Amino acid sequence: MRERAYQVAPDGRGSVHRTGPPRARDPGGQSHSCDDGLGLEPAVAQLVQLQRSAGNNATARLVRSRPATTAVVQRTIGDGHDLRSHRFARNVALEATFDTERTIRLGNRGVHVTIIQQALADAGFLAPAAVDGRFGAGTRTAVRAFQTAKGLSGAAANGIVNAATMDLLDQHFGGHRPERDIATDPARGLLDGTRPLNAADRRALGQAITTEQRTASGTLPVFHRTIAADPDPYEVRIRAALNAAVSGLHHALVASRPPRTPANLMPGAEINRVATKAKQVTDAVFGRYKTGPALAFGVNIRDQFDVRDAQIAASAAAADQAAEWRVDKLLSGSDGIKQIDSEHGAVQGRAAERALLAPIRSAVITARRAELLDIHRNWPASAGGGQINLQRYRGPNAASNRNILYELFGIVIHEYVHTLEHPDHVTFRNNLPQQRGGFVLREGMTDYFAKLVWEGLTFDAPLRVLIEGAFHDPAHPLAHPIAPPHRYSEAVNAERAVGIIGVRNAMAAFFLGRTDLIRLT
Amino acid sequence: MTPWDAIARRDFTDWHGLPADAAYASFDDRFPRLSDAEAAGMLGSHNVPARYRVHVAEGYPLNLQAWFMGSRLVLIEADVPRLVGAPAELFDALGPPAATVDFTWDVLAVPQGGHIHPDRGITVFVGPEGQVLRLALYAPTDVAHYQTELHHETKLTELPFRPDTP
Repeated sequence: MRERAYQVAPDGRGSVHRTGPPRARDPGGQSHSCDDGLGLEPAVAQLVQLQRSAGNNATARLVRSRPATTAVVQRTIGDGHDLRSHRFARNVALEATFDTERTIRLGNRGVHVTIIQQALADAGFLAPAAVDGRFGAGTRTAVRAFQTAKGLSGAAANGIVNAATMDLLDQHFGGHRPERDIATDPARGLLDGTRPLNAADRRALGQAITTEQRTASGTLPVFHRTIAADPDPYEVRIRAALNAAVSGLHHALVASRPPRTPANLMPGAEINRVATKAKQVTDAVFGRYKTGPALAFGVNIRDQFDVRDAQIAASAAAADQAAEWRVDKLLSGSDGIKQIDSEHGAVQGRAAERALLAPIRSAVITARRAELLDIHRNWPASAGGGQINLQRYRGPNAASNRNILYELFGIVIHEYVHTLEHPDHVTFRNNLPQQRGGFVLREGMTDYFAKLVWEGLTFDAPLRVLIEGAFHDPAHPLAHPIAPPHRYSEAVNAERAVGIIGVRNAMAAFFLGRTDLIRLT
Repeated sequence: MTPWDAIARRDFTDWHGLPADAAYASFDDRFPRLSDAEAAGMLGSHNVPARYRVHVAEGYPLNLQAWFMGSRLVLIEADVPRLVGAPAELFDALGPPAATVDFTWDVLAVPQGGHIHPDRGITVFVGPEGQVLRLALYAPTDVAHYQTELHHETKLTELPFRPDTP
C-alpha cells in the first residue's frame, strides 16, 4: 500500500493526493472494515484491482489514454472537481463520493457518515439525536427524503449517497441557508436539536479545529533545505518572499493611500451609519441567542492609525517591538511564505529552520523599520476586548469609497459577532493552545458566523443606499460589484467543525456558553 | 484631592483608589462624554460582563474609558496618559507592586509590564523603557480580585488583509 502525500495549501487547507487503494483514504481512522468494497462503483473496483496488480502510475497512464474513463479514477482533492461547502470539502471519503469513486450507504460507519448525518439533521431530514456515525435504516430514510425533496425519484431516490446526492448536499449548504434557518426559527428552543458528542465526534472535532502542520500520519514534516522544484535554497526563497511581502503591503496600505487630511478621512457619523446596519443584520440572524450594545465611533470603534501612532510615539522600544512583530507575523502568516514552508517541509519553530530564519528576520527588521511601522499604523483593522480599531481613509473616487464602506460593513459584522461570544466560551477557548483550537474557536468560529450573516444578505437598492451613502450612484443603483470580506483561513476549520457537531451545538456553545456541547475530551 | 481631581491633574502619586461605592453618575458629571453611546466588554479572568463609556479629559490623548456595572463605577482606564510628573515619581510614590503580570498592549507583549498595586487601587502598565503606557484605576482590593474581576485584557487581533483583493 503506498503512502498518501499530505500538503498544506497556502490557505491552510490540506491537499490530499490519493495514490493508494480506497481503503486507506480516510485519515485518522475514518474508514472502517464495513466499508470495504461496499461503496465502490464497479468500474472503480476494477481499476483498483488494476492498480494493485499493475501499479498506480501504469494505471494512471492507461486511464489517461482512455478519456471515457478518466472521470472515475485517481481524482485529487484540489483537482477542480471538489466539494465547495467547507463542512464537506477535504474529507477524503466525501470527496471520493463526489468523484464517483464510491458511495456512502447502509452499513457504512465513520466520521464521513457523521458529517452526512449532521448535514441531514441541519437540513431538517434527520433528528439530530440520530447522528451517530453509523449509516442505518433511519439514515437511509433521511437520505431518501432529501433526494425526493430535491426532485430525484425512482432509482435515483434510493437512500444511497452517490455523486449526485453529494452534489445536492454540497449545493444545499453552499449559501449557508440551513444554518440561518435554524438560527432564526422562532419555534425552536435555543437548545433544541443540540446533541452530546460521542468520543469519535470529539476526536474529529479536535482534528477539525487543529491548524498545526502535520503529515497524514500526524508527525511533523521532514525539512528539506533544497528541493527539486526550485533552484534556490529555503532561506533565499524566504528572504525574497519576505521582502516582497513588505513591499506589497507598504504599497497597498501606505503608498497608495491619500494624504491623511480631514477631507480624506471618513467622518464618525458615516462609520456609525454602517456599523448600526451591521449590528441590525447580525441581530436578524443571531438575535434570538444574544444581542450586543450599539457600536459607536469613538467608543468601541476607534481610529486604528491614531491609536497606533500614539503607541509608537509613546515608546521607541514599543516601536521596535512593533517592527519585529510585523516581520514575525509575515514569516508565520504570509501565504507566500506558508507555501514555501509547505514545499520544504519547514516548521519555523524547529531549530534548523529557526537558525536559517533568524538572520533574515534581523536584516529585514533593521533595513525596513520605517516601512514596517508605516504598515503597522495603517493596518486595516484590529479588534479585541469589545473594541474595533479601523482605518478611516477615503478612497480616490466613488467606486473606491464604496469598496471601503462594504469592507467596513463586513468588518463590523465580524467584530460585532465577537461581542456576542459568551464568557464561558471565551474561557473554554483560552484554555486551548492557539493551533489546537484556540484560534479557530476565537476567530474562525466568529468569522463563520459572520459569513452566515453576510451570505444571507440581499444587496438590494435600499441596503446599498444605506451602506454607500453619498457615494451611491442612483443612475446605476445595483452596479457596484461587492467583494466578499476577507476571511480568516481558520473559518474553514470552524465550518468543518460545524459539519461534525452541528450548527446548533456550535451556536449554543458560542452564544450561550454551553461548552459541554463542543468538549474535546 | 478627590479621585476626580487626581485624574484631572494627571497626578496619581497620592492616589488611594476609587471610593468602594463610586457612582458612575458622579464621574459622568465631572468628565464630559465623548459620546452618549455605551459599549460592553468583559473584565477579569472570570470574564465579568460590564459596560463602559468614553469620556474626555485634557492630557489623555486616547481618552478615558469608564467601566460600570449598574450604577457603580468599577474601573477607569487611560492609554498613554500624559502624567504631570515623571514616571519615576509615580513609581516611587506607589512603592513596589504587590504583583507584576505580563500584558499585551494592542498586539505587543510586555512581559511583567503590569504593576499591580491593589491596596492603592491602581495598576500601572509600564513599557520597556519605563514609561507609563496605560493606567487602570479602581477601588482598593487584592491582587486576586483585580485579576479575576477587573483586569481588562487589551490584546487585539488584526483582521486579515490580502493586498491583491480590491
